[in-house]
Amino acid sequence: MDDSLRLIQYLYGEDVDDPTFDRRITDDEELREEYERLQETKEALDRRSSPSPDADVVDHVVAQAADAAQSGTASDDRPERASDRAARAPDRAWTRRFRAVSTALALLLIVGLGWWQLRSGDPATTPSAGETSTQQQSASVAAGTEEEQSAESMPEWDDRDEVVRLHQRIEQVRSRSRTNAWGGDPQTVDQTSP
Amino acid sequence: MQPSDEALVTAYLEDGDEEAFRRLVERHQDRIFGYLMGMVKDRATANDIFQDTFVRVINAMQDPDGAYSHEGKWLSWVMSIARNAAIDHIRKQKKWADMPHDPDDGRSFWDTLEDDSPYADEELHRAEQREWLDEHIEQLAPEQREVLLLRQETDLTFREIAELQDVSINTALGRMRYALKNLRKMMEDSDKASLAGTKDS
Repeated sequence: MDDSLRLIQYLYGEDVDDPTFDRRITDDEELREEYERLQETKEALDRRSSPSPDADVVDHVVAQAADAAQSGTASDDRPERASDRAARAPDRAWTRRFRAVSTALALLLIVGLGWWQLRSGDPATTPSAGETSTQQQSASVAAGTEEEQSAESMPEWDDRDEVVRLHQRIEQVRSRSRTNAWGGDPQTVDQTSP
Repeated sequence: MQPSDEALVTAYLEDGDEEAFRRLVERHQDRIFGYLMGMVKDRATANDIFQDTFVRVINAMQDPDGAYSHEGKWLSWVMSIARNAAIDHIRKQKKWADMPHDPDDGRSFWDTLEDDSPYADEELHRAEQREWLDEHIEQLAPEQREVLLLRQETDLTFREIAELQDVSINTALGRMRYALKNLRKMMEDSDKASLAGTKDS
């Protein structure tokens, strides 16, 4: 380390690695002059008072330290301490919504049950004049669906016209068979044509 | 007799003594805040970084695996955290490079010392001096400015500053020497004739 660096340590009152440095500053005019110049600058800096942080910042830091001593961590984003926070009313919005939805569902259930009982108690009951066209439409659609279902469930041969046609065809084939049988009438040309 | 920093740290950590922590903060607040003010040049920002520093300090102290090692160097440990917080802020603001400087409004440092009126307001006088010095400290190279602020404001030794900056003690001393010489030159350039007025009368 050279003397220029020792001079800085000496200026700030730190231990210097050369025990003779104190005497050399006195003896060496060049070293002494530099020391005096640096000392003047340091004195100007020493007169520059240090600013302090805002008092509320220090209070906040101490409050965070107290919280951390209890919880184990400090958080920067807490605007107020939990113990100092004003009590808040519980949020009842969800309770109100749940109550309204429950009431509506209960009403729907009652109406549905009543309608079902009326339908099952009197099947011939026709819709009253007060019922809406939508209900009529839905009833007719339901009836049509039932007819289709019963038609689908019947076998095709049970159709009346088809049975008659089938019967006629069977009779026709039977009469032809009778003429084509061994020992029957001789076949004419007309009978062979389609 | 004042309890040591380490005794106050122990009282806070082992007994949850809030007042012990307050004494620690109040004992060193001017040093830490003075350094931060010198680095960011804005009181509100310095207050924010001061608070951010202590959030980090408290969390590290409360963490059993934290960085604090109870070696009786609480202030230098806190200063390393304050320094990191300040550098984080400066990097965010992209102000780490040298500031453009032309703060000289024609008034010299010595103008702030000389006053014809013997009844001049001493506080105002000091405030003007401080303002002049702050403006000119800001013109120093960042590494010189930081060593000067750390030594002047926080009273850390040059060896501690060297550890903080991860440089040799000779580098730290050399930066301080240039900082003082450059500041001296700025003072002389501002008004050589009244140089003698620097000393306290």
